[in-house]
Amino acid sequence: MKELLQGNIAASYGAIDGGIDFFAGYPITPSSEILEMFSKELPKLGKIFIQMEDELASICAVVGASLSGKKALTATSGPGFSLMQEGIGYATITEAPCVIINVMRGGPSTGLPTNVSQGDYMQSKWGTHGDHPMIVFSPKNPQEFYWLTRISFNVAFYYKNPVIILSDESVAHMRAEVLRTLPPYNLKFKEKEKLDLPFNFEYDLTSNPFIGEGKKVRITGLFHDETGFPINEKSMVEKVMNHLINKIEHNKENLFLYESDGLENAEIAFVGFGIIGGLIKELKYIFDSKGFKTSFFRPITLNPLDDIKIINLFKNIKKVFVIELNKGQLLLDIKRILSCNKEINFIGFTRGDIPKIGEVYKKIEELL
Amino acid sequence: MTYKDYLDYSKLPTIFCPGCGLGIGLKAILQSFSDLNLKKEDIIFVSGIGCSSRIPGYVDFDSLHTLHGRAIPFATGVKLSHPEKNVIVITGDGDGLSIGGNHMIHAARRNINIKVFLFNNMTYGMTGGQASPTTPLKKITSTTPYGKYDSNFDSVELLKGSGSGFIARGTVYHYNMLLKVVKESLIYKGFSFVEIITPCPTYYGRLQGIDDPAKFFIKLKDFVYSIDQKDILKEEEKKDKLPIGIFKNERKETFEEIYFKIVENLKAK
Amino acid sequence: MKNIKRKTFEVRIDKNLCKNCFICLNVCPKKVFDLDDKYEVYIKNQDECIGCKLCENLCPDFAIEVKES
Repeated sequence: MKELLQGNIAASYGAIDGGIDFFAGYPITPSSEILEMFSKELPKLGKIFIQMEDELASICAVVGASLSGKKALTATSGPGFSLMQEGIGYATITEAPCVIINVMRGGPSTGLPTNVSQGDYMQSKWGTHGDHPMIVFSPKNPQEFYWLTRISFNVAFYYKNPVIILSDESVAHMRAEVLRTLPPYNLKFKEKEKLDLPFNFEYDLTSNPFIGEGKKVRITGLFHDETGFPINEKSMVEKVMNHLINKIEHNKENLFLYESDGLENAEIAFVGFGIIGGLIKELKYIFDSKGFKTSFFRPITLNPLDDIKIINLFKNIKKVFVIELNKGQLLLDIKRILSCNKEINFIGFTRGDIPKIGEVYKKIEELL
Repeated sequence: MTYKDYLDYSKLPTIFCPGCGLGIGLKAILQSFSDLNLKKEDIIFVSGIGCSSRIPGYVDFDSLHTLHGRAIPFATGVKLSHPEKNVIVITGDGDGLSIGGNHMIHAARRNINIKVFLFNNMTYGMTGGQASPTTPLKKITSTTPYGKYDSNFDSVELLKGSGSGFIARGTVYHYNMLLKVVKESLIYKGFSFVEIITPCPTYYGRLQGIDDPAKFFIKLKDFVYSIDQKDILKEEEKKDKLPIGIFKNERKETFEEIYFKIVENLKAK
Repeated sequence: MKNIKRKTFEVRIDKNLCKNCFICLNVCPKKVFDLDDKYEVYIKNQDECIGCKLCENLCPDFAIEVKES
């Protein structure tokens, strides 16, 4: 049954249909609707909702709940996302399966609380200190926001890693048709070996006990051995670090979701993520009708990016136009992967709005 | 069972300095578990960062060593995920009252049923003896080489203002009294706060000019007075000293009790 | 004079855990402990022990055990 839902509400339903057990959050525009939605719905379902005293407490409560084996989520925006970085980093080294929704708004700092931007792309990958794995998804509309949130818990628990859903004020506040169906992504979840110790560094993906199961689980943010006891011996540290990075690196093919059309037959590609998804599709349609051979590419998974897949997809492309609502962040990844033999152009907007198609068309026409 | 059954002997000896009182506080807590017949699978330790926060590494049950100042929100997440377990927070004066002060206030206000044991050694021991919110005025520390410019506060008064239903203070010197106070806090249903005064001979003691850890340990009795003697002692006998004892023991509805009652009512509809 | 049978106690120090902080030495009311020529704690007067357990309780390193013998 199709419903007309606001993006934030669609995401909340996605979490509920995905089996959320625990939500801790703090009000912040433009994600407060998620907090309020859960305050109403979670008690009805017998699940836990708690409004914490700040974002630091929110992320910590969510990581604590996820380390206790519960499907836990929090939602915030730029300023809160910055505060949560320490907790997110903790989740990476403790392999905590938590989910964080960041609804991007104008930044930096207090910036533009009620306006859209895509300025947190790099922060979602590298916001926390140290080398660390991260899984980041970005929806283009409320339907995708629903699907990605719904599947995020499975992904988090399978990879034992925090999952960030990078949305933005436009997707979060727009109202569109949403079907509460199973996500169409073919992410593979294989059977994992069940171990007794809280950690293991021999295999990429295993199933380990959580806190509260009576299995003597010891967890720390320091580098640790398989029993969770702190260590700093060289070879052990290297082993742990490699495990953390490899479990995502070795599985990027399986994690890399994207949407594209026409890349094999075109010489020009329009690239963007999130809310720009609709715009690049429209651009392909317009330029094709003018006789150009164009295509579009939209990564749904922002991290990890499957470099090899992208190189293959773009092999016939000569000119790339990256369109973002920031000063060039996805651009840096595209340049890194593709600039050796392609022309990479950038069209960025940081006015707090989504440009009208005509304006973008004119800019691209000038560059062509 | 005794305290020994709750220890992970394979991880001993502890990293704590000779003469540090943390091991004594841990013993009192573990002895209380044994006296109250608590099962290991029903106990979860949650700590922040600091010397006292390293305590969970030595116990033979679930433990969560988290971020500086954030033990309490982590513990909130764990407790609400496993409401039937005993969730115990192990923190220090810097971890719990400086960076973690805000979370302390709110957890007390919410009355989440977690037990807080705050080891107060009046310094940041792990990082080299810097001043903390509980270091008294004019004391020498590694960040107050000319004497501390500001006063300390009384955590008991802070917790009273935050609405905590159980507030107590003990020291590692007065072991039997500490044992009693710890047990009472475990029996109490709701947020409980126990401050445990402990010596840091390597930094606090040494910077005050006391070289011998055992002598500094004995001096602990001069830092405190019992609240039972509040009216008997003269003012100059209580000056610059902290009172020890149980300051509050009042039962009130916990966050979980109120929340789950509402959940039940919604289910009935 | 009646022959009162006094309880006797055995005090043991686990040398692997003892950090020689000297707390036991300083709190014992019966001078059971003393320092040897290596400046380490040892049990000098086992028979003096009255089983008050101050040493066991106040040892921060779980190194002392007092048992009724």
